Amino acid sequence: MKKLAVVLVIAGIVLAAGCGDKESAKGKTGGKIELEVAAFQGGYGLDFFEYAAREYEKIHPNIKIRVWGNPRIWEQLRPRFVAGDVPDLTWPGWDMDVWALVAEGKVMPMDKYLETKAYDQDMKWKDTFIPSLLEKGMDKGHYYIMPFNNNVFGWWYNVDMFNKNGWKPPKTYEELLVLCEKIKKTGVAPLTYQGKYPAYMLSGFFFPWAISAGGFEAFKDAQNLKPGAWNSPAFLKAAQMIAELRDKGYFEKGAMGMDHTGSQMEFITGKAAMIPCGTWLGSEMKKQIEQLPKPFHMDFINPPVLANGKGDPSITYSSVETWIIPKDAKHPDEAADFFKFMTSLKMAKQFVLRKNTLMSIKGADAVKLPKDLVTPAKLLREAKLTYSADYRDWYRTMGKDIESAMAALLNGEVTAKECVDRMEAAAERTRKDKSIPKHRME
Amino acid sequence: MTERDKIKTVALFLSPAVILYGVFFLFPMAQAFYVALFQWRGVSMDKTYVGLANFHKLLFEDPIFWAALGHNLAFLIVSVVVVIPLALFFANALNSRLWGAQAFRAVFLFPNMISVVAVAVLWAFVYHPKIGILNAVVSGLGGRVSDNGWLGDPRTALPCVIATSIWYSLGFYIVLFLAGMQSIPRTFYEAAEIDGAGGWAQFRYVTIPLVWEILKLGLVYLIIHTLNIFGLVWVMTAGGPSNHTDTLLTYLYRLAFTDSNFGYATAIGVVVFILIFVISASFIRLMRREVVEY
Repeated sequence: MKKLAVVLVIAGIVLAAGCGDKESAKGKTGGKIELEVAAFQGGYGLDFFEYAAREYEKIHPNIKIRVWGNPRIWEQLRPRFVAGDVPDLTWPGWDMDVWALVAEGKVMPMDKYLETKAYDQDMKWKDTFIPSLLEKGMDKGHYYIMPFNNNVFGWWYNVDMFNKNGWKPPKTYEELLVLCEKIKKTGVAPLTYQGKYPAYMLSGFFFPWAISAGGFEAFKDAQNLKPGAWNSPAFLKAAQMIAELRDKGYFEKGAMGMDHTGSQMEFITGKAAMIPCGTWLGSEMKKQIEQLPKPFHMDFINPPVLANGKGDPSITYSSVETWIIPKDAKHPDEAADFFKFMTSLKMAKQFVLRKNTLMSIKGADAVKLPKDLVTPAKLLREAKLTYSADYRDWYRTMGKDIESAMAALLNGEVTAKECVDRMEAAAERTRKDKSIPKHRME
Repeated sequence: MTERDKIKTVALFLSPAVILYGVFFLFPMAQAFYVALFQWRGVSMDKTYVGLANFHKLLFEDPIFWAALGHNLAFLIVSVVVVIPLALFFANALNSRLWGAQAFRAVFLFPNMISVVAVAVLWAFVYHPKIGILNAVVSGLGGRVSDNGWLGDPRTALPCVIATSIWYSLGFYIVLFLAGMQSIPRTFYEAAEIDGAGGWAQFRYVTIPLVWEILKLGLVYLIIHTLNIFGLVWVMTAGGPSNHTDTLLTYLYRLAFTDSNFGYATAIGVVVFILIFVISASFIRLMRREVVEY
């Protein structure tokens, strides 16, 4: 009996000591401040953040930065947020509900840091960002969620196929219909899409066409949950346009059952002429493109909109990845400074060059751009306005319901009218639910 | 050793198991019932008590919950109707001294040895809209293939996933029933044969009563398995297209881990627990018979 008690006590001590050890190892090592940077490991990998960390350590010898990450990082970070044991700086990935973190006061406001001088430019850090991208992360007048890279979303077309057949990339929806008919005759599917993930079809077809039909206000009203916005005439028109392409057989057969890589394979192997996707397409499909028997060329266009549409045709979809400094971070000041370094013009240009993507920093595209980025960068510069589907991050359950309605339209289960009514019903549920904090797009 | 010492010894030996069971099973379960009464985002310790509001919303205002429950019941009913008779049939066949029965026993268990994710990926290829075998077979036989692909079409997605789940689980029940059948002494069959019982009569009056307890066990297991189905659906369709294959657990996972709605998701968990409990208990009651001892 006594022996057991002794064993238990010893086990307890060992366990406690183990925890204590871990605690003291964190934060400081040999007088140095250790920063923990946790990043989602997506198509861009972690190596750039590692590189930035090593560069930063060179000019700040008192700081040591530990970068880690994986493709499902939010699952590891969530319990750590609950426990208050958080990294100093993090990009927690697409499935981390960062707005819930903001609502719970778990994110550090960035206002005071943004007022400081930028790393390598003679201006405030705040002014180095593309303003609309920085403002996405604002809540009640404070900055919380920081942008980093800038993903432009639109359509990609197969340049080789277009050249061979003498086709021109369509500028208007009317041109698109004519072109699709020609493409279809050659036995190639005019358009494919990432059926398993309807978000691609929303940003690729639905929102651009709703904005074209009803002007940007139509989209803004929808994001702001204005009653009747989701089944407004503009949204109905967009749904009807999708239904038209569906009924005319311009979408690739079977696309509804494909995931993103599946449909993107169809595109790069020439089975479909166009696909909606973001600027990450090239890096995401890099390996597969290299394995193709013939070199493959693609280029980017904004989704073709109505010739006499109300919305400005230059409006471009661009979205950012969401970096935050947790409220409970042990070294928020140092973390903010490191992030400022990561977003300095020099580093931002490096990111553009190495990772084949645009940045949220003004002037970062003033480098010799990788060929896939030339057109997106140009369209972004010419855009009167950029936007993204922020409602999806604000109201996640509603976001899923909207996606379901889109999928139901594409697989012919509902009519255009039923589709937008389903969307409005989803918006109505969110509007009525007082437990969901509301956001506004200005 | 006095009576008190005896109790002490028993308690001592039992305590590790009881403590582990309590800490890792009873406590989290009690906690789940508790969390279901809160609105909780699952990113901090702050929760708001909402009483039974989560359950009210779930039962009266949530169409996806009912759709998901319907899909689980479809899994359950189809599995009971297909898996149990098929498994009994194969087990009975394998129990005979047919040539090759040994090899077939192993073959039927194969699917169970593959991880569920691998099974899901494999079958997603079978159903692939471009390169899938099923497409080739159906169009080869002159059938019409859906434009949306098997897993993208709302009419075929759920049946396809259910078919995979049956393929995956069948082997387990065959082996389970086979084990039961092998423990039946041969002499019973010989006696039945002398009394003039044919193959069917032997199966009906000797085999079934004697594997009844195992049949019951298999059924309860099937109920738990189909109401808890997650991995297969998650990998094959993630609940799509437009929620047509959502099950209670895929919906729960999404609500909790991407929508930050832990309280509500936990309420679903509680409902699943109650459902499994009630359905299993009623099946066990329905199947109650006098146990044949031998």
